[in-house]
Amino acid sequence: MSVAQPHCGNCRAFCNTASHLEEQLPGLHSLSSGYGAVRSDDGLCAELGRLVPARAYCARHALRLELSAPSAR
Amino acid sequence: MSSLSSAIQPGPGTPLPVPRSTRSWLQTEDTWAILLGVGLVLAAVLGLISGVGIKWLAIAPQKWSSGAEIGQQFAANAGRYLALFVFWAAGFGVGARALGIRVAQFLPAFFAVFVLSTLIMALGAWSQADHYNLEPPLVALAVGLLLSNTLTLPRWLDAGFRVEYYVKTGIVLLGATLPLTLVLTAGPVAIAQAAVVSLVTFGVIFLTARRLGLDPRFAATLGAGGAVCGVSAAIAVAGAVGARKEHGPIAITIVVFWAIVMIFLLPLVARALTLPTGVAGAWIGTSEFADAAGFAAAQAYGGYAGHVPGISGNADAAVSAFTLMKVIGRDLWIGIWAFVLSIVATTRWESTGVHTGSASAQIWRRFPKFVIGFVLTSALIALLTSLYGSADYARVLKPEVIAPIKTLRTWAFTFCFLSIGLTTRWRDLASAGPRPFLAFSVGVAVNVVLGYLLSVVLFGSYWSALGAP
Repeated sequence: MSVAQPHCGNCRAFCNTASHLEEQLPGLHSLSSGYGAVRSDDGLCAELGRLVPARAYCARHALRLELSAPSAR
Repeated sequence: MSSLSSAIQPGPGTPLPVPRSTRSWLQTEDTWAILLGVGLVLAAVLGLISGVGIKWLAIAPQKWSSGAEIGQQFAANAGRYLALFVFWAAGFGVGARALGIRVAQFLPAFFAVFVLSTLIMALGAWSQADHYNLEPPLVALAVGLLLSNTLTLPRWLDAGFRVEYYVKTGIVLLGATLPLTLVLTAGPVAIAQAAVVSLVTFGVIFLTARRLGLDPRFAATLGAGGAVCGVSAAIAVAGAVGARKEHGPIAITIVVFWAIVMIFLLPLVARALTLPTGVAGAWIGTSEFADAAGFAAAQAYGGYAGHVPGISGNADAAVSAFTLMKVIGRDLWIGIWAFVLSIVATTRWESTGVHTGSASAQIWRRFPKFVIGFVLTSALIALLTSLYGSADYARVLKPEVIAPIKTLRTWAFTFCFLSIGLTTRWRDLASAGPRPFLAFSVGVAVNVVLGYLLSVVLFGSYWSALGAP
Protein backbone atom coordinates (compact mmCIF):
# COMPACT_ATOMS: atom_id res chain seq x y z
CA MET A 1 0.00 0.00 0.00
CA SER A 2 1.46 3.29 -1.07
CA VAL A 3 1.31 6.45 1.01
CA ALA A 4 -1.00 9.08 -0.38
CA GLN A 5 -2.77 12.18 0.79
CA PRO A 6 -6.57 12.22 0.76
CA HIS A 7 -8.10 12.61 -2.66
CA CYS A 8 -11.63 12.96 -3.87
CA GLY A 9 -11.06 9.54 -5.44
CA ASN A 10 -11.05 7.87 -2.05
CA CYS A 11 -13.68 10.08 -0.44
CA ARG A 12 -17.11 8.80 0.52
CA ALA A 13 -18.83 11.75 -1.12
CA PHE A 14 -17.27 11.13 -4.53
CA CYS A 15 -18.61 8.97 -7.33
CA ASN A 16 -17.36 8.83 -10.89
CA THR A 17 -18.94 5.77 -12.44
CA ALA A 18 -20.12 6.47 -15.97
CA SER A 19 -23.65 5.24 -15.28
CA HIS A 20 -23.93 7.49 -12.22
CA LEU A 21 -22.78 10.52 -14.18
CA GLU A 22 -25.23 9.78 -16.99
CA GLU A 23 -28.04 9.54 -14.42
CA GLN A 24 -27.06 12.72 -12.64
CA LEU A 25 -26.34 14.81 -15.73
CA PRO A 26 -29.46 14.55 -17.92
CA GLY A 27 -28.68 14.56 -21.62
CA LEU A 28 -25.03 13.59 -21.18
CA HIS A 29 -25.46 10.43 -23.24
CA SER A 30 -27.33 12.24 -26.02
CA LEU A 31 -24.37 13.87 -27.73
CA SER A 32 -21.60 12.65 -25.45
CA SER A 33 -21.10 9.92 -22.91
CA GLY A 34 -20.00 9.10 -19.42
CA TYR A 35 -17.70 6.48 -20.91
CA GLY A 36 -15.53 8.83 -22.98
CA ALA A 37 -11.84 9.42 -22.36
CA VAL A 38 -12.11 13.21 -22.27
CA ARG A 39 -13.76 13.35 -18.87
CA SER A 40 -10.74 11.52 -17.46
CA ASP A 41 -11.56 10.35 -13.92
CA ASP A 42 -13.79 13.29 -12.98
CA GLY A 43 -16.79 12.59 -10.82
CA LEU A 44 -19.48 14.20 -8.72
CA CYS A 45 -19.00 15.28 -5.13
CA ALA A 46 -22.31 14.76 -3.33
CA GLU A 47 -21.15 16.88 -0.43
CA LEU A 48 -20.14 20.00 -2.32
CA GLY A 49 -22.35 19.51 -5.36
CA ARG A 50 -19.49 19.93 -7.80
CA LEU A 51 -17.86 18.10 -10.66
CA VAL A 52 -14.29 17.47 -9.58
CA PRO A 53 -11.28 15.40 -10.69
CA ALA A 54 -10.56 12.25 -8.66
CA ARG A 55 -7.17 13.76 -7.85
CA ALA A 56 -8.66 16.88 -6.28
CA TYR A 57 -9.05 17.24 -2.51
CA CYS A 58 -10.71 19.43 0.09
CA ALA A 59 -10.78 19.94 3.84
CA ARG A 60 -14.00 17.96 4.14
CA HIS A 61 -12.52 14.73 2.85
CA ALA A 62 -13.93 11.57 4.39
CA LEU A 63 -12.17 8.30 3.68
CA ARG A 64 -14.27 5.69 1.99
CA LEU A 65 -13.88 2.32 3.62
CA GLU A 66 -15.30 0.09 0.88
CA LEU A 67 -12.11 0.19 -1.11
CA SER A 68 -12.87 -2.92 -3.09
CA ALA A 69 -15.34 -1.00 -5.22
CA PRO A 70 -14.73 2.63 -4.38
CA SER A 71 -16.34 4.20 -7.38
CA ALA A 72 -19.45 2.05 -7.53
CA ARG A 73 -21.59 4.01 -5.12
CA MET B 1 -21.03 17.44 6.50
CA SER B 2 -23.31 15.59 8.85
CA SER B 3 -23.52 12.56 6.62
CA LEU B 4 -19.78 12.26 6.74
CA SER B 5 -19.22 13.09 10.36
CA SER B 6 -18.57 9.50 11.33
CA ALA B 7 -16.00 8.99 8.64
CA ILE B 8 -12.35 8.52 9.39
CA GLN B 9 -10.49 11.80 9.09
CA PRO B 10 -6.91 10.97 8.18
CA GLY B 11 -4.10 13.15 9.44
CA PRO B 12 -1.20 14.41 7.38
CA GLY B 13 0.87 11.59 5.96
CA THR B 14 -1.64 8.92 6.91
CA PRO B 15 -1.17 5.95 4.57
CA LEU B 16 -4.11 5.80 2.21
CA PRO B 17 -4.62 3.76 -0.89
CA VAL B 18 -3.99 5.54 -4.14
CA PRO B 19 -7.39 6.49 -5.60
CA ARG B 20 -8.96 3.48 -7.22
CA SER B 21 -11.38 5.64 -9.12
CA THR B 22 -8.85 6.27 -11.86
CA ARG B 23 -10.31 4.51 -14.85
CA SER B 24 -8.31 1.92 -16.70
CA TRP B 25 -8.02 2.22 -20.47
CA LEU B 26 -10.45 -0.66 -20.83
CA GLN B 27 -13.14 1.43 -19.17
CA THR B 28 -13.44 3.98 -21.95
CA GLU B 29 -15.42 3.53 -25.12
CA ASP B 30 -12.52 5.13 -27.02
CA THR B 31 -10.51 1.96 -26.43
CA TRP B 32 -13.26 -0.32 -27.67
CA ALA B 33 -13.94 1.85 -30.69
CA ILE B 34 -10.24 1.63 -31.58
CA LEU B 35 -10.13 -2.15 -31.08
CA LEU B 36 -13.24 -2.71 -33.17
CA GLY B 37 -12.36 -0.22 -35.91
CA VAL B 38 -8.68 -1.11 -36.25
CA GLY B 39 -9.56 -4.81 -35.96
CA LEU B 40 -11.99 -4.47 -38.86
CA VAL B 41 -9.43 -2.70 -41.04
CA LEU B 42 -6.81 -5.31 -40.18
CA ALA B 43 -9.29 -8.04 -41.04
CA ALA B 44 -9.95 -6.37 -44.38
CA VAL B 45 -6.23 -6.16 -45.11
CA LEU B 46 -5.51 -9.73 -44.02
CA GLY B 47 -8.56 -10.86 -45.97
CA LEU B 48 -7.07 -9.35 -49.09
CA ILE B 49 -3.98 -11.47 -48.60
CA SER B 50 -5.77 -14.67 -47.61
CA GLY B 51 -8.67 -14.29 -50.01
CA VAL B 52 -11.30 -14.25 -47.25
CA GLY B 53 -12.13 -10.57 -46.88
CA ILE B 54 -14.91 -8.63 -45.21
CA LYS B 55 -16.66 -7.86 -48.48
CA TRP B 56 -19.29 -10.54 -47.92
CA LEU B 57 -20.12 -9.10 -44.52
CA ALA B 58 -20.40 -5.51 -45.75
CA ILE B 59 -23.94 -5.72 -47.07
CA ALA B 60 -26.23 -2.70 -47.48
CA PRO B 61 -29.46 -2.02 -49.38
CA GLN B 62 -28.89 -1.19 -53.06
CA LYS B 63 -30.96 1.09 -55.30
CA TRP B 64 -34.56 -0.05 -55.66
CA SER B 65 -37.74 1.36 -57.10
CA SER B 66 -40.50 -1.03 -56.05
CA GLY B 67 -41.47 -2.88 -52.90
CA ALA B 68 -40.97 -6.21 -54.64
CA GLU B 69 -37.43 -5.22 -55.57
CA ILE B 70 -36.29 -4.34 -52.07
CA GLY B 71 -38.12 -7.38 -50.74
CA GLN B 72 -36.14 -9.56 -53.11
CA GLN B 73 -32.92 -7.91 -51.99
CA PHE B 74 -33.63 -8.71 -48.34
CA ALA B 75 -34.75 -12.26 -49.11
CA ALA B 76 -31.67 -12.97 -51.21
CA ASN B 77 -29.30 -11.55 -48.59
CA ALA B 78 -31.03 -12.54 -45.35
CA GLY B 79 -28.05 -14.62 -44.23
CA ARG B 80 -25.64 -11.73 -44.80
CA TYR B 81 -27.82 -9.29 -42.86
CA LEU B 82 -28.07 -11.80 -40.02
CA ALA B 83 -24.29 -12.26 -40.05
CA LEU B 84 -23.82 -8.50 -40.04
CA PHE B 85 -26.12 -8.14 -37.04
CA VAL B 86 -24.27 -10.89 -35.17
CA PHE B 87 -20.96 -9.26 -36.02
CA TRP B 88 -21.97 -5.79 -34.80
CA ALA B 89 -23.79 -7.17 -31.75
CA ALA B 90 -20.73 -9.19 -30.75
CA GLY B 91 -18.26 -6.40 -31.55
CA PHE B 92 -20.12 -3.68 -29.70
CA GLY B 93 -21.40 -6.11 -27.06
CA VAL B 94 -17.93 -7.14 -25.90
CA GLY B 95 -17.00 -3.51 -25.40
CA ALA B 96 -20.31 -2.72 -23.71
CA ARG B 97 -19.76 -5.53 -21.24
CA ALA B 98 -16.26 -4.31 -20.44
CA LEU B 99 -17.67 -0.83 -19.86
CA GLY B 100 -20.12 -2.22 -17.34
CA ILE B 101 -23.21 -1.98 -19.52
CA ARG B 102 -25.54 -4.95 -19.02
CA VAL B 103 -25.37 -7.14 -22.12
CA ALA B 104 -28.89 -8.43 -21.47
CA GLN B 105 -30.08 -4.84 -21.92
CA PHE B 106 -27.63 -3.86 -24.63
CA LEU B 107 -28.50 -6.66 -27.07
CA PRO B 108 -32.27 -6.17 -27.43
CA ALA B 109 -31.77 -2.41 -27.62
CA PHE B 110 -29.09 -2.83 -30.25
CA PHE B 111 -31.35 -5.20 -32.18
CA ALA B 112 -33.93 -2.40 -32.38
CA VAL B 113 -31.23 0.04 -33.51
CA PHE B 114 -30.03 -2.41 -36.18
CA VAL B 115 -33.52 -3.10 -37.56
CA LEU B 116 -34.43 0.59 -37.69
CA SER B 117 -31.08 1.43 -39.28
CA THR B 118 -31.67 -1.23 -41.94
CA LEU B 119 -35.04 0.28 -42.77
CA ILE B 120 -33.60 3.81 -42.89
CA MET B 121 -30.73 2.74 -45.16
CA ALA B 122 -33.26 0.96 -47.39
CA LEU B 123 -35.31 4.14 -47.55
CA GLY B 124 -32.17 6.08 -48.52
CA ALA B 125 -31.62 3.62 -51.40
CA TRP B 126 -35.11 4.20 -52.78
CA SER B 127 -35.00 5.68 -56.29
CA GLN B 128 -37.29 8.53 -55.18
CA ALA B 129 -35.38 9.32 -51.97
CA ASP B 130 -33.58 12.29 -53.54
CA HIS B 131 -36.82 13.67 -54.86
CA TYR B 132 -38.28 13.74 -51.33
CA ASN B 133 -34.97 14.80 -49.69
CA LEU B 134 -34.86 11.62 -47.63
CA GLU B 135 -31.22 11.85 -46.62
CA PRO B 136 -30.59 8.82 -44.35
CA PRO B 137 -28.72 10.74 -41.59
CA LEU B 138 -31.52 13.28 -41.26
CA VAL B 139 -34.21 10.61 -41.51
CA ALA B 140 -32.47 8.56 -38.78
CA LEU B 141 -32.30 11.60 -36.55
CA ALA B 142 -35.91 12.59 -37.19
CA VAL B 143 -37.19 9.04 -36.62
CA GLY B 144 -35.24 8.80 -33.36
CA LEU B 145 -36.49 12.18 -32.15
CA LEU B 146 -40.07 11.27 -33.04
CA LEU B 147 -39.93 7.93 -31.22
CA SER B 148 -38.23 9.21 -28.08
CA ASN B 149 -40.43 12.29 -27.73
CA THR B 150 -43.81 10.76 -28.51
CA LEU B 151 -43.45 7.34 -26.90
CA THR B 152 -42.30 6.42 -23.43
CA LEU B 153 -39.41 4.13 -24.26
CA PRO B 154 -38.14 1.96 -21.38
CA ARG B 155 -35.01 3.50 -19.86
CA TRP B 156 -33.07 0.27 -20.07
CA LEU B 157 -33.09 0.61 -23.87
CA ASP B 158 -30.55 3.41 -23.45
CA ALA B 159 -28.00 0.62 -22.96
CA GLY B 160 -28.01 0.15 -26.74
CA PHE B 161 -28.37 3.81 -27.75
CA ARG B 162 -24.66 4.57 -27.45
CA VAL B 163 -24.14 7.64 -29.65
CA GLU B 164 -20.48 8.16 -28.81
CA TYR B 165 -19.50 4.51 -29.04
CA TYR B 166 -20.93 4.28 -32.54
CA VAL B 167 -19.58 7.58 -33.80
CA LYS B 168 -16.09 6.88 -32.49
CA THR B 169 -16.09 3.49 -34.22
CA GLY B 170 -17.27 5.20 -37.39
CA ILE B 171 -14.47 7.77 -37.13
CA VAL B 172 -11.83 5.07 -36.69
CA LEU B 173 -13.19 3.35 -39.83
CA LEU B 174 -13.27 6.72 -41.56
CA GLY B 175 -9.51 6.96 -41.10
CA ALA B 176 -9.08 4.05 -43.53
CA THR B 177 -10.88 6.00 -46.24
CA LEU B 178 -9.11 9.30 -45.63
CA PRO B 179 -5.61 9.42 -47.14
CA LEU B 180 -2.90 10.00 -44.55
CA THR B 181 -1.34 12.60 -46.86
CA LEU B 182 -4.57 14.57 -46.70
CA VAL B 183 -4.57 14.43 -42.91
CA LEU B 184 -0.97 15.64 -42.83
CA THR B 185 -1.31 18.37 -45.46
CA ALA B 186 -4.76 19.69 -44.61
CA GLY B 187 -4.38 19.24 -40.87
CA PRO B 188 -2.42 22.47 -40.29
CA VAL B 189 -4.96 24.55 -42.25
CA ALA B 190 -7.77 22.96 -40.28
CA ILE B 191 -5.97 23.59 -37.01
CA ALA B 192 -5.31 27.24 -37.90
CA GLN B 193 -8.93 27.86 -38.92
CA ALA B 194 -10.30 26.01 -35.92
CA ALA B 195 -7.96 27.84 -33.54
CA VAL B 196 -9.28 31.22 -34.67
CA VAL B 197 -12.92 30.17 -34.41
CA SER B 198 -12.48 28.31 -31.12
CA LEU B 199 -10.69 31.18 -29.39
CA VAL B 200 -13.17 33.78 -30.61
CA THR B 201 -16.22 31.64 -29.81
CA PHE B 202 -14.96 30.81 -26.33
CA GLY B 203 -14.12 34.44 -25.68
CA VAL B 204 -17.53 35.69 -26.82
CA ILE B 205 -19.48 33.14 -24.77
CA PHE B 206 -17.31 33.54 -21.69
CA LEU B 207 -17.34 37.35 -21.70
CA THR B 208 -21.06 37.55 -22.47
CA ALA B 209 -21.81 35.10 -19.67
CA ARG B 210 -19.66 37.07 -17.25
CA ARG B 211 -21.32 40.31 -18.37
CA LEU B 212 -24.66 38.67 -17.60
CA GLY B 213 -23.45 37.86 -14.11
CA LEU B 214 -22.79 34.13 -14.45
CA ASP B 215 -20.18 32.34 -12.36
CA PRO B 216 -16.80 32.13 -14.17
CA ARG B 217 -16.67 28.31 -13.91
CA PHE B 218 -20.11 28.10 -15.47
CA ALA B 219 -19.08 30.62 -18.14
CA ALA B 220 -16.01 28.51 -18.95
CA THR B 221 -18.16 25.36 -19.15
CA LEU B 222 -20.50 27.05 -21.62
CA GLY B 223 -17.61 28.51 -23.60
CA ALA B 224 -15.88 25.15 -23.99
CA GLY B 225 -19.16 23.57 -25.08
CA GLY B 226 -19.47 26.09 -27.88
CA ALA B 227 -15.83 26.33 -28.87
CA VAL B 228 -14.35 22.85 -28.67
CA CYS B 229 -16.35 19.64 -28.82
CA GLY B 230 -19.81 20.27 -27.45
CA VAL B 231 -21.12 18.33 -24.49
CA SER B 232 -17.87 16.39 -24.05
CA ALA B 233 -15.84 19.60 -23.79
CA ALA B 234 -18.36 21.22 -21.47
CA ILE B 235 -18.21 18.30 -19.04
CA ALA B 236 -14.42 17.96 -19.30
CA VAL B 237 -13.90 21.64 -18.50
CA ALA B 238 -16.59 21.57 -15.80
CA GLY B 239 -14.60 18.83 -14.07
CA ALA B 240 -11.25 20.52 -14.60
CA VAL B 241 -12.40 23.80 -13.02
CA GLY B 242 -14.72 22.28 -10.40
CA ALA B 243 -18.01 23.68 -11.72
CA ARG B 244 -21.25 23.24 -9.82
CA LYS B 245 -23.14 20.07 -10.61
CA GLU B 246 -26.29 21.84 -11.83
CA HIS B 247 -24.29 23.83 -14.37
CA GLY B 248 -23.41 20.65 -16.30
CA PRO B 249 -26.98 19.76 -17.29
CA ILE B 250 -27.73 23.37 -18.24
CA ALA B 251 -24.73 23.45 -20.55
CA ILE B 252 -25.78 20.07 -21.96
CA THR B 253 -29.31 21.32 -22.70
CA ILE B 254 -28.09 24.38 -24.56
CA VAL B 255 -25.42 22.51 -26.55
CA VAL B 256 -27.86 19.73 -27.51
CA PHE B 257 -30.47 22.28 -28.57
CA TRP B 258 -28.11 24.19 -30.84
CA ALA B 259 -26.42 21.03 -32.14
CA ILE B 260 -29.77 19.61 -33.26
CA VAL B 261 -30.77 22.94 -34.84
CA MET B 262 -27.45 23.08 -36.72
CA ILE B 263 -27.81 19.54 -38.06
CA PHE B 264 -30.75 20.76 -40.12
CA LEU B 265 -29.87 24.45 -40.54
CA LEU B 266 -26.26 24.29 -41.80
CA PRO B 267 -26.94 21.84 -44.68
CA LEU B 268 -30.07 23.82 -45.56
CA VAL B 269 -28.24 27.16 -45.78
CA ALA B 270 -25.21 25.62 -47.49
CA ARG B 271 -27.55 24.04 -50.04
CA ALA B 272 -29.28 27.35 -50.68
CA LEU B 273 -25.85 28.87 -51.30
CA THR B 274 -24.87 25.81 -53.44
CA LEU B 275 -21.58 25.51 -51.59
CA PRO B 276 -19.17 22.82 -52.83
CA THR B 277 -19.24 19.73 -50.59
CA GLY B 278 -15.73 20.30 -49.22
CA VAL B 279 -16.51 23.92 -48.31
CA ALA B 280 -19.79 22.99 -46.63
CA GLY B 281 -18.03 20.20 -44.72
CA ALA B 282 -15.43 22.67 -43.43
CA TRP B 283 -18.14 25.12 -42.39
CA ILE B 284 -20.07 22.40 -40.59
CA GLY B 285 -16.83 21.29 -38.91
CA THR B 286 -16.24 24.84 -37.73
CA SER B 287 -19.76 25.66 -36.61
CA GLU B 288 -21.38 22.42 -35.41
CA PHE B 289 -20.96 21.62 -31.72
CA ALA B 290 -20.70 17.86 -31.46
CA ASP B 291 -19.00 15.20 -33.55
CA ALA B 292 -22.05 12.99 -33.90
CA ALA B 293 -24.30 15.90 -34.86
CA GLY B 294 -21.74 17.24 -37.31
CA PHE B 295 -21.28 13.92 -39.04
CA ALA B 296 -25.05 13.76 -39.56
CA ALA B 297 -25.02 17.22 -41.16
CA ALA B 298 -21.87 16.59 -43.24
CA GLN B 299 -23.00 13.18 -44.48
CA ALA B 300 -26.42 14.56 -45.37
CA TYR B 301 -24.80 17.39 -47.35
CA GLY B 302 -22.41 14.97 -49.06
CA GLY B 303 -25.50 13.15 -50.29
CA TYR B 304 -26.46 16.23 -52.33
CA ALA B 305 -23.37 15.84 -54.54
CA GLY B 306 -24.45 14.74 -57.98
CA HIS B 307 -28.13 15.07 -57.07
CA VAL B 308 -28.67 18.76 -56.40
CA PRO B 309 -27.87 21.05 -59.33
CA GLY B 310 -25.05 23.49 -58.63
CA ILE B 311 -23.43 21.59 -55.77
CA SER B 312 -19.97 20.53 -56.87
CA GLY B 313 -17.58 18.07 -55.26
CA ASN B 314 -18.12 14.52 -54.17
CA ALA B 315 -19.91 13.00 -51.20
CA ASP B 316 -16.71 12.07 -49.37
CA ALA B 317 -15.37 15.63 -49.46
CA ALA B 318 -18.01 16.91 -47.04
CA VAL B 319 -17.21 14.23 -44.47
CA SER B 320 -13.44 14.56 -45.01
CA ALA B 321 -13.44 18.34 -44.58
CA PHE B 322 -15.71 18.06 -41.56
CA THR B 323 -13.44 15.45 -39.97
CA LEU B 324 -10.33 17.54 -40.52
CA MET B 325 -11.93 20.65 -39.07
CA LYS B 326 -13.76 19.08 -36.16
CA VAL B 327 -11.68 16.11 -35.08
CA ILE B 328 -8.18 17.35 -35.97
CA GLY B 329 -8.83 21.08 -35.68
CA ARG B 330 -10.96 21.19 -32.53
CA ASP B 331 -11.39 17.92 -30.62
CA LEU B 332 -7.69 17.18 -30.23
CA TRP B 333 -7.14 20.25 -28.08
CA ILE B 334 -9.63 19.61 -25.28
CA GLY B 335 -6.88 18.55 -22.86
CA ILE B 336 -5.04 21.83 -23.38
CA TRP B 337 -8.25 23.84 -22.89
CA ALA B 338 -8.94 21.95 -19.65
CA PHE B 339 -5.34 22.40 -18.48
CA VAL B 340 -5.23 26.14 -19.16
CA LEU B 341 -8.66 26.77 -17.64
CA SER B 342 -7.79 24.74 -14.55
CA ILE B 343 -4.78 27.02 -14.03
CA VAL B 344 -6.97 30.10 -14.42
CA ALA B 345 -9.55 28.61 -12.04
CA THR B 346 -7.03 27.93 -9.30
CA THR B 347 -5.11 31.19 -9.64
CA ARG B 348 -7.70 33.77 -10.70
CA TRP B 349 -11.17 32.75 -9.61
CA GLU B 350 -12.68 32.67 -6.17
CA SER B 351 -11.84 29.46 -4.32
CA THR B 352 -14.55 26.81 -4.00
CA GLY B 353 -12.75 24.99 -1.21
CA VAL B 354 -11.82 22.18 -3.57
CA HIS B 355 -8.24 22.04 -4.77
CA THR B 356 -8.81 20.79 -8.29
CA GLY B 357 -5.16 21.17 -9.21
CA SER B 358 -3.81 22.00 -12.64
CA ALA B 359 -1.64 19.03 -13.56
CA SER B 360 -0.38 19.06 -17.12
CA ALA B 361 -0.88 15.28 -17.17
CA GLN B 362 -4.55 15.93 -17.83
CA ILE B 363 -3.64 16.99 -21.38
CA TRP B 364 -3.00 13.33 -22.10
CA ARG B 365 -5.66 11.96 -19.75
CA ARG B 366 -8.33 13.99 -21.52
CA PHE B 367 -6.97 13.36 -25.00
CA PRO B 368 -9.75 11.90 -27.20
CA LYS B 369 -8.00 8.57 -27.68
CA PHE B 370 -10.22 7.39 -30.53
CA VAL B 371 -8.26 9.81 -32.75
CA ILE B 372 -5.30 7.44 -32.37
CA GLY B 373 -7.39 4.74 -34.04
CA PHE B 374 -8.33 7.18 -36.79
CA VAL B 375 -4.66 7.92 -37.54
CA LEU B 376 -3.71 4.23 -37.24
CA THR B 377 -6.24 3.08 -39.85
CA SER B 378 -5.27 5.93 -42.14
CA ALA B 379 -1.58 4.98 -41.83
CA LEU B 380 -2.36 1.30 -42.36
CA ILE B 381 -4.16 1.94 -45.62
CA ALA B 382 -1.44 4.41 -46.71
CA LEU B 383 1.13 1.67 -46.19
CA LEU B 384 -0.94 -0.81 -48.13
CA THR B 385 -1.48 1.66 -50.96
CA SER B 386 2.25 2.29 -51.23
CA LEU B 387 2.82 -1.46 -51.54
CA TYR B 388 0.20 -1.90 -54.22
CA GLY B 389 0.67 1.24 -56.31
CA SER B 390 -2.01 3.55 -57.63
CA ALA B 391 -3.19 1.28 -60.47
CA ASP B 392 -3.86 -1.64 -58.17
CA TYR B 393 -5.46 0.73 -55.65
CA ALA B 394 -8.36 1.36 -58.02
CA ARG B 395 -8.50 -2.22 -59.30
CA VAL B 396 -7.98 -4.21 -56.10
CA LEU B 397 -7.82 -2.17 -52.91
CA LYS B 398 -10.80 0.06 -53.55
CA PRO B 399 -13.39 -2.67 -54.21
CA GLU B 400 -11.95 -5.28 -51.83
CA VAL B 401 -10.91 -3.16 -48.85
CA ILE B 402 -12.00 0.49 -49.02
CA ALA B 403 -15.57 -0.01 -50.26
CA PRO B 404 -16.50 -2.63 -47.60
CA ILE B 405 -14.98 -0.45 -44.86
CA LYS B 406 -16.97 2.50 -46.16
CA THR B 407 -20.17 0.43 -46.04
CA LEU B 408 -19.49 -0.66 -42.47
CA ARG B 409 -18.68 2.94 -41.56
CA THR B 410 -22.07 3.99 -42.92
CA TRP B 411 -23.72 1.41 -40.66
CA ALA B 412 -21.85 2.69 -37.60
CA PHE B 413 -22.83 6.29 -38.38
CA THR B 414 -26.46 5.33 -38.97
CA PHE B 415 -26.56 3.62 -35.55
CA CYS B 416 -25.16 6.86 -34.16
CA PHE B 417 -27.60 9.23 -35.91
CA LEU B 418 -30.55 7.13 -34.85
CA SER B 419 -29.26 6.99 -31.28
CA ILE B 420 -28.93 10.79 -31.16
CA GLY B 421 -32.65 11.05 -31.77
CA LEU B 422 -33.51 8.18 -29.46
CA THR B 423 -31.61 9.71 -26.54
CA THR B 424 -32.65 13.34 -27.05
CA ARG B 425 -35.75 13.59 -24.90
CA TRP B 426 -36.56 17.24 -24.52
CA ARG B 427 -38.69 16.63 -21.44
CA ASP B 428 -35.70 15.11 -19.61
CA LEU B 429 -33.31 17.97 -20.24
CA ALA B 430 -32.66 20.59 -17.60
CA SER B 431 -34.23 24.01 -17.90
CA ALA B 432 -31.56 26.33 -19.25
CA GLY B 433 -32.64 29.79 -18.13
CA PRO B 434 -32.39 32.94 -20.25
CA ARG B 435 -28.93 34.19 -19.28
CA PRO B 436 -26.87 31.08 -20.11
CA PHE B 437 -28.96 30.53 -23.22
CA LEU B 438 -28.38 34.11 -24.36
CA ALA B 439 -24.63 33.94 -23.69
CA PHE B 440 -24.27 30.72 -25.65
CA SER B 441 -26.51 31.93 -28.47
CA VAL B 442 -24.41 35.06 -28.98
CA GLY B 443 -21.42 32.73 -29.36
CA VAL B 444 -23.36 30.61 -31.84
CA ALA B 445 -24.13 33.65 -34.00
CA VAL B 446 -20.49 34.78 -34.03
CA ASN B 447 -19.29 31.22 -34.63
CA VAL B 448 -21.56 30.63 -37.61
CA VAL B 449 -20.66 33.91 -39.32
CA LEU B 450 -16.94 33.56 -38.64
CA GLY B 451 -17.04 29.89 -39.69
CA TYR B 452 -18.68 30.93 -42.96
CA LEU B 453 -16.12 33.66 -43.64
CA LEU B 454 -13.17 31.38 -43.00
CA SER B 455 -14.54 28.29 -44.76
CA VAL B 456 -16.08 30.03 -47.76
CA VAL B 457 -14.30 33.33 -48.27
CA LEU B 458 -10.79 32.90 -46.89
CA PHE B 459 -10.12 29.18 -47.39
CA GLY B 460 -12.93 28.44 -49.85
CA SER B 461 -10.67 27.51 -52.76
CA TYR B 462 -8.68 25.25 -50.47
CA TRP B 463 -11.67 23.32 -49.13
CA SER B 464 -13.40 23.08 -52.49
CA ALA B 465 -10.29 21.42 -53.91
CA LEU B 466 -10.93 18.50 -51.53
CA GLY B 467 -13.90 17.43 -53.60
CA ALA B 468 -12.41 18.17 -56.99
CA PRO B 469 -12.34 15.23 -59.40
